Amino acid sequence: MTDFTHLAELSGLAEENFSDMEEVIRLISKITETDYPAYCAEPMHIGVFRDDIVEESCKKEEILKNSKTGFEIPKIM
Amino acid sequence: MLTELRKKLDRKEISVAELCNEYSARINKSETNSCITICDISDEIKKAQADINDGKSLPLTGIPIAVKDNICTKGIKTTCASKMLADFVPVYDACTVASLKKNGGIIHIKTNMDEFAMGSRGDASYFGAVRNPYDKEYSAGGSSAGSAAAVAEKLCPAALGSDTGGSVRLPAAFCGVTGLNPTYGSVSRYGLIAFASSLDRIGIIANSAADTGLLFNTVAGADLNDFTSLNTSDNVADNTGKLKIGISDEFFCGADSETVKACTEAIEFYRRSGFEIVNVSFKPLKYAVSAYYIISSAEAASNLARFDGVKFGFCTEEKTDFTEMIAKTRGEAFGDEVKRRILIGNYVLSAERRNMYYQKALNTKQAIRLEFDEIFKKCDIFLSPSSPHSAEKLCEKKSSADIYKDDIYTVPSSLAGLPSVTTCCGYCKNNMPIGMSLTGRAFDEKTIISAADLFEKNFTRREASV
Repeated sequence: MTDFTHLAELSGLAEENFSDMEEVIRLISKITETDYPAYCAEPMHIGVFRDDIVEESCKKEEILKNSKTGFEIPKIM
Repeated sequence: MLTELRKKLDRKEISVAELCNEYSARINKSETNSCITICDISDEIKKAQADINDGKSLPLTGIPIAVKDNICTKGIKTTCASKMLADFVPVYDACTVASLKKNGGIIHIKTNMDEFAMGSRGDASYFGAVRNPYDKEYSAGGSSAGSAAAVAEKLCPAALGSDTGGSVRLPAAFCGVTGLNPTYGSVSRYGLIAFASSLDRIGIIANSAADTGLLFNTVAGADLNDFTSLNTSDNVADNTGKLKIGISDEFFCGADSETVKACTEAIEFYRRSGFEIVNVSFKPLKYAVSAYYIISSAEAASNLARFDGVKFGFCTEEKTDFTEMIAKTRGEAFGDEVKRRILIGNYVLSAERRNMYYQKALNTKQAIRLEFDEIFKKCDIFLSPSSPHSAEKLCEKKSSADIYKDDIYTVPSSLAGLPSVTTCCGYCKNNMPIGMSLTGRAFDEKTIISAADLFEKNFTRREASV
């Protein structure tokens, strides 16, 4: 039996009663049956940072940082 | 509908004010709890009408568009349907919102959703559950519940939603409308409040596949503020000749009989229309839900760590010491489902479990991606039910694990980053809509939207009754 109260504390959450967490853990534990080859971060067609975009963005940030008014990175969250 | 509205507005058959008032009247009468914020759009109406009068109308000039409440809108509350962000007003627009505005669109409502986009029933919102426009007793699906319900109920002609594991497609299926989850990277995520960054996508919900395509063209493209976004126009497949639709038994054996019947009839329609139907297998399906909940929860635990009562949003009144303040803030402001996901995330990322859970989930994600690669060597479109069943009653209590299992048909394409469109393909005996999903190759939105459009032109939808 997992001590979810302790895990909740570690997660910065107040003490809660999670009655169905054991069932959820059983569901996700199905993954332990798998034996797929290790994922390696090969270049893929999606979800990768494109060099030209990174370069452009770095240039943009550098210009803004060096501007007289300074650059405040928008606070997303 | 968007094309018709454009024509009506440009021909002055209807004014922008009349159109917006029509939607506004329906919003005021609505009982589905689809909206969190109703925006003041009087200035936008005047500007749009002036542009039309001057012959300067753009594709969306004067057309109201709804936006899910986890997509940042400058000067308009963006709550994520959470007590944590109940008063949060962004200082900038999400890239997609800016694109809509640039094309003349008017953001008139922010729509209700499952808190932080975590849920598939639309009932985990701080502002109360969203009700299905076909029957108020039923769930509208989730997490983009308000966006789907608003389109079905005609509170807007189209809406933006977000999809991490089915959050555009499930509510679209349950509310009998069309939902597009584009390829990961084709639409900028800048300004979308993060749930699971490697899976999050901004999607579109509308009355037809053609409308989702029109709006997709408006919001798609590379954005310097999202390094994973790119221009997609060169990636669209040139499909000539007979298109092949792949179907897999694994995707049908867990669905109820009414769903199987509706999807089978759709397959027959495509066969009659000249498509070739091929059988394919999808072996990793049984591990897809586990992999999805491990990866998404791990990322959610990290992304939501920033909500500590110091930098953003809600802070507890009981301030004793720093650690306790954070715990109390998060304990008071997050709903049960969000807390559950954070716990799962921290559980699978803990030192002793990381290799057993998180690494294996990443391996499974890759296996699913490779399985789709094999499938798309044999076909151009992969057809499946969107959900094992249609909408369920909100009062029907289910365990969290059982709710998670219902995502089984939407999470595979989420993990693979592929585009998928959901459209209504039938109705249950209780009149609730049934949805099917068409998944395509990466960046080939054109093929799946065209196939969905063909089906829709030959299928009669029923009006929502609420």
